[in-house]
Amino acid sequence: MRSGEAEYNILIGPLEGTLMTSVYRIVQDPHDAEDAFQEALAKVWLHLAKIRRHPNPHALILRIFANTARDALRKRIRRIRRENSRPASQSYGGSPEDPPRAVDRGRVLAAIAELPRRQAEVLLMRVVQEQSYEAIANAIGCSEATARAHALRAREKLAESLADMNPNLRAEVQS
Amino acid sequence: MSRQDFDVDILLKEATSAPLPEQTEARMQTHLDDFRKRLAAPPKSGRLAAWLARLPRWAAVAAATAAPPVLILIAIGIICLRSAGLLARTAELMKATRSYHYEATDLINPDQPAREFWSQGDKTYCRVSIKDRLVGEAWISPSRFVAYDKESNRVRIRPTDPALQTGLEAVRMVYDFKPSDWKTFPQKTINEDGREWLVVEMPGGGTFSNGHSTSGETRQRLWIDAKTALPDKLESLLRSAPGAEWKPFLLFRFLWDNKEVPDSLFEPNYPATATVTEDPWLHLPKFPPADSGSGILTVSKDGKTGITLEKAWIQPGGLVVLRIAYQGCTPFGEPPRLADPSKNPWGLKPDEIRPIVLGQLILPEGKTEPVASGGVNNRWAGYEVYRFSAPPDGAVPGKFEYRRLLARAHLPADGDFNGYVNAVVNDPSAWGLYEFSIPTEPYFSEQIPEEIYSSPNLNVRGAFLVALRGALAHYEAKSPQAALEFLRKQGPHTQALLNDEMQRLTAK
Repeated sequence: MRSGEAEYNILIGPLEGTLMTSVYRIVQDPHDAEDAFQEALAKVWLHLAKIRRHPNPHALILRIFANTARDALRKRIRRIRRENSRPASQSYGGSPEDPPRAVDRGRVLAAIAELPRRQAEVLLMRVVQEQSYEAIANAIGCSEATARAHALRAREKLAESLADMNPNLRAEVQS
Repeated sequence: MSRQDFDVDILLKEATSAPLPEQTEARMQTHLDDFRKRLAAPPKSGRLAAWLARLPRWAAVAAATAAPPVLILIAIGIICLRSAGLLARTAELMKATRSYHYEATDLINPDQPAREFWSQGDKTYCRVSIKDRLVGEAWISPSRFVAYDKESNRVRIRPTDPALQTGLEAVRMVYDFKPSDWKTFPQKTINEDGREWLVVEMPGGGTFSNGHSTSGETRQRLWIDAKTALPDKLESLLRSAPGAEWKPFLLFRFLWDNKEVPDSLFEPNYPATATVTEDPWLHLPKFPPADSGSGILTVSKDGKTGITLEKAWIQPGGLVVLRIAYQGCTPFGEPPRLADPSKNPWGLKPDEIRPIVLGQLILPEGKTEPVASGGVNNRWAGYEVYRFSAPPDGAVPGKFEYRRLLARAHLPADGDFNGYVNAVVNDPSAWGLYEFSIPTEPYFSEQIPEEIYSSPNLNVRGAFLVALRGALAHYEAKSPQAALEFLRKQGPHTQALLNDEMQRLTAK
């Protein structure tokens, strides 16, 4: 049986940076990101036994964090829509100190938040956390082909909803 | 990767490329440190769960599966241990008790005499009263029973038959308390009347506690005060036969105070003017042996009914109560109602029964007289009650004998034969009727139990003999060989009782 310290070093230690950055990049709000990070840690604690038994515990932990961050993102978008009655893309611009960007991040993230849960988690794990399809398949408990199919459908939906943002995308969708 | 994938990924990467602010990173790191500490030292309440979580999966599953039943067993164990401890304490206290006081009542009718008992050592004093009016007293010791009837100013003295002291038997059961005799598992205490009680039940039944009958049943509940561990009341339900009406009886207000009671209370104290009759057996060393009862089976002409007569003793001045059953089956299991002779399965009507019964009575001429007679009686559901008594003149020399209806056997020649031979005995000394059933074919396969022969009650043994003879008659009606085979299957006591029959059948 491993001690708690050793277990932390094995399970969480190698992922510390990825976990923190991925949560922030998905949520893109300092306070909400911190809350989501804390909530994800609590979920890890609750499911520690399951994580220990999992064939790829790191992938499972990353999935927990991605899902929690996505939930926080959806909550944030709903809250903003409710409070301001404005399109989320107009008010969701990330941190004030972030430099201005060519891409409307608010729209992209809102589009991700609208994706079905499974498609969103596969896409976030793939793009934001940069996990292999094998690891993603391990984490969500499906075959690698299924994980790829989820990612493909997610990309198709995003391409459709964000077509006006990129001429290449628009041409692709129209063709 | 297709071009579309590529472009979407570029959009996503650009949209999620925000750098992590330092302050946010620091706070997240704090959360990670907390998590690390928590993992290293789980809180007390989580230790078991954490320990379980670290076990191999099969061990964790086994532990989690076994935990609830184990906890339930532990809880039951605690309850049982507590009640067992309480019962052990009760037994200890009872053992140390030398004097006690209690009351008894028959709950059927509040106008029934109420009895109040004081006991010290092996002596008991009893006061009988009706609505606070003293009607009698009794002084009971291991050697004699002295009863004073205040209304008739008569005193009867007879040897103490422990098995016949109904009422005393029940309290003896409490007094000689043995935890193993009572049903204690699983036993929880209950709260009632502002007190905590342990209520234990006497399991089973099957016999009267005084050993009168093997067909009677009892249900008894003893209420023990959980605070003092002392019994407070004993609830009893008695019935003479399966299906008969339950009769409640209550012993209550037990005082186990070891208070010294004056010896004079246990000395017979009745007026000098009272008429005293002594049982002729008073000075005999012991009761007649258990097999002294003998019966003569008289089978009616139609072969349906047998009547057994027995020689028995009547005490001078004593009473004999006869109850003639008109409905052989209805007293058992049906509510009391007027007798309906048309439903008499015995094939006899009251007018036919009465002369048979009364005609069979052979009472010493000039020394007995009927003191009461009643017609069909609601309470007894078709019983006629006759009471006879010997004149209390004290001049009756010793003992005398009479013959009386003891029992009737319902022979299987009847149309409603159901495989059993039944016998009913009218026993005035106990609660009512006893019924015995002896199975014949197709049910009969084993030897008839012989415990009944140890009953001190002559009537009970006689009724059993009647049923036995009824079964024998049933087999003999088929063939002497069948009757002989029936006899040979029986135990030694039964064979000895029916020895004359066996010889007769062998000669045939």
